Amino acid sequence: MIRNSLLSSARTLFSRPGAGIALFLIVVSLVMSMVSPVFLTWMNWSNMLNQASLLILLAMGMTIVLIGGGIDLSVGAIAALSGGVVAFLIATLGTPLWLALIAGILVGLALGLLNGVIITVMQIPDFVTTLAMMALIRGVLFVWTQGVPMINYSDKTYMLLGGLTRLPLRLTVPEFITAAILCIGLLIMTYARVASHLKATGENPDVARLSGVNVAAIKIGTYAVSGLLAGIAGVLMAGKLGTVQPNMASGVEVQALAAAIIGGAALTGGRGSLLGAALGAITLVVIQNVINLLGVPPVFETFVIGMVILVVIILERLSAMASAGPRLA
Amino acid sequence: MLDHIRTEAVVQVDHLLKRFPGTIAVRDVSFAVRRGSIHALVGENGAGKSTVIKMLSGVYQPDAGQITVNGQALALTSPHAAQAAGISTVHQERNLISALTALENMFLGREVLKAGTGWFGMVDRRAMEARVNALCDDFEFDRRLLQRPVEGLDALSKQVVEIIKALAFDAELIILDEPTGGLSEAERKVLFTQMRRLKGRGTSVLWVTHHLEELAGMADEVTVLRDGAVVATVDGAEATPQTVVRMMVGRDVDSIESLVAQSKAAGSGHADAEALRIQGLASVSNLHGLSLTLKQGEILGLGGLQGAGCNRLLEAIIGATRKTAGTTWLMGKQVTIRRTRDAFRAGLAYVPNERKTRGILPTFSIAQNISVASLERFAAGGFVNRKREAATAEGYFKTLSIRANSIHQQILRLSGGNQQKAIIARALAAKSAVIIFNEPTEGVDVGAKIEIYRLIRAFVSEGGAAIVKSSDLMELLGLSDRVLVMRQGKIVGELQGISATDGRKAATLLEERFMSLAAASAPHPSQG
Repeated sequence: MIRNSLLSSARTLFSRPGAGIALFLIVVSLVMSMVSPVFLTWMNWSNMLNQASLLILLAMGMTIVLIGGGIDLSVGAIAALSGGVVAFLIATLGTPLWLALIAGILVGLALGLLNGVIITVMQIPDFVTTLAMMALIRGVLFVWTQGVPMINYSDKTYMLLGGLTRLPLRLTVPEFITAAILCIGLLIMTYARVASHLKATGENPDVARLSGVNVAAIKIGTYAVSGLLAGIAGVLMAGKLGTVQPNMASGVEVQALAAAIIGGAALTGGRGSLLGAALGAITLVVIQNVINLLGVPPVFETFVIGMVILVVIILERLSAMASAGPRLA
Repeated sequence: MLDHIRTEAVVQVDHLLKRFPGTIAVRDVSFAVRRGSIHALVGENGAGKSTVIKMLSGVYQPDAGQITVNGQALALTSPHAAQAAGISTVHQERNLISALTALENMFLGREVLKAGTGWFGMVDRRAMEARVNALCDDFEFDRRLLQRPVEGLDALSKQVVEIIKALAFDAELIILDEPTGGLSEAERKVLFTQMRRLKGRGTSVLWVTHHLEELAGMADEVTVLRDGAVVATVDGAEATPQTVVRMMVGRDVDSIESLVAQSKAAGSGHADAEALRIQGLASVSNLHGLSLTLKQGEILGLGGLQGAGCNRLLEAIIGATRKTAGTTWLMGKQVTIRRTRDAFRAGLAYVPNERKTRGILPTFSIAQNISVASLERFAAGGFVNRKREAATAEGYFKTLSIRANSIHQQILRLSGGNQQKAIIARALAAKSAVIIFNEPTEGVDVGAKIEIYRLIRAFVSEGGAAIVKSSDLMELLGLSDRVLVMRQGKIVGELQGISATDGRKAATLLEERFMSLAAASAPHPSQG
């Protein structure tokens, strides 16, 4: 009896998106604190949070797109181009930093909008569209820079913005930006009408349309948000790195996707959690950190991340099967 | 008299007509739903019920005829227009978003916003709750469930959510399409109470149902459809299952005679050898202790109302759903069928229903669609011999007279009837002893239907045997030698098919017997 009620309350706790991964983080932290004296220090965690903050931005954008029933493979390329635009404007045209930043972010927003418009107006599948855009944008960057990294644009302010300079308590500016955006996102997803419309669009666009939801606008909106967040992440990354290489941020779309999925987003649409995505991104960074601290060769990193994603998905599937009872084939 | 009805009619339809390519779904339907009444709409599968509903809910536009709401002739050009006119439909496949709460579902697309929240568009949950609180109490819907995701609700609660959703926006007519599907007996009773409540509030209900025994005491009026036209609208008190069944069946004699003559002309050289025997079959899809036998040269029909278990039985036989008990003998030999592949290997082929999603490989050619179930015979060392595949396909192409430019044409470009013939050719090419046909003429025009009947007949007369599941009663009785009737997961009776010498009366009698077996009053909860 007691066991049953414990089981059921455990089950309701774990049905909350992100709960499982939060538990995973706690367990890993406890174990690691025994293995390595460094792990549970603020020094280590402040580094990890700084590292995670940009990934969280991308993972939130990816989650919004996934809830709306899409997928955005172009976020890495968009981030790189946004960073490139800032670097170019400052280094070549001498544009003031604030104007260059706005321009870079707007480029991200515009590319996101373009993704959304192609997908909804031309009815081209999300995967195909963003795959093409990923290659296209990256290609523009290569042709534009001729493969030569952009340099000589950074200054003190930009280094501060990029998280290269520490504030008191070893905090950094990107952390505050990310936290602020996360809060706004959580407020919207909890209280705003658009959250219901977003979930409905992702889960069943026909029902959403029949209920009077502007499905096309929602869909375009998700890609615009994703592009915007990729733009912000890109310009911050340019500040952090001090140089924009044409293959900057390549592969981050996979990490963002992984973080979103670990955080409870479903590729089938309708489901996902911003908080979960943030925890998912932190998890990825923690895994890297653990691998470093344990002295495991870094070549294992990708392997471990793949394992974690697979385990999360299998656990989710098992719990769905357990709660749904026997299913038909 | 007529004027009297008009004044109190909430919705009236006059001479509705709806054509689809190759068929007329609704030829002439007129009836009026009175304010605050429960109006039942009954008829066999294919009688036109769902087409009428779709016209009333704005999904289809009628080709002719008129829909009048509160005395005003309206063009319901979209689901939105229908809702605006006060007509809400609770579809058979529930239209709820499982990730949203009950409250969010009720107000989806029509959320109440807090004043002054501008671009943010903050939803006012309090105001929305206040708006439905009274309705929740009326319909005994626990208010605490309003803030829960609907995926956790049971089938009845989901239905109540849809009813409240409709009422919250002043629906005057609520269309309930097979509302008792998937409900237990106790839940049905609750639903009926809810329907009476709707009536008490002055809301009209248009109630589509297969379960004729439910009509008594519930329906104020019953409109019976047959072949896309209204047979009659009768008072609910007069609508006993027997009288309604009699109105639902009773076809015109020509179509029956031509069908039976066509389908049985090939003659049945009944061999007595057993082709398929199934004993004590049970499955994870909640079937228990089912047995049947099928002889060579025989067509065995399988029929029942929606949810009676015919599809579940077929899928268990061919191994698409897991069997938990039972033995299968094919041509006298015991076989084990765990997966569909085992079935095809053993010589038991399946022609699935829902051709578009479960039958054709749309971008493949006709030839590839035919060969796909028996590729081993066309393959050498893992490579398909395209010449041999083409030769075989060419053979079926001619004998089944598939109308297309060539066997290399994409199957997608063919008409429904020709696609279906190609799928049948797939089963034939697998050289099976027994073929199971699930709705073989679904969405096929009349001419192709007759050809498909001939194909099935020809197959069994050459020593094969077939099971045909069909929801078209005339087809089922006309084509089959014997018919098994299912209800609530059990085989409840066996009928002889209509024979070529039977007259109209005998045919009608058979249809009545079928319906009374399939729709007899239900002491147990039915399972979808």
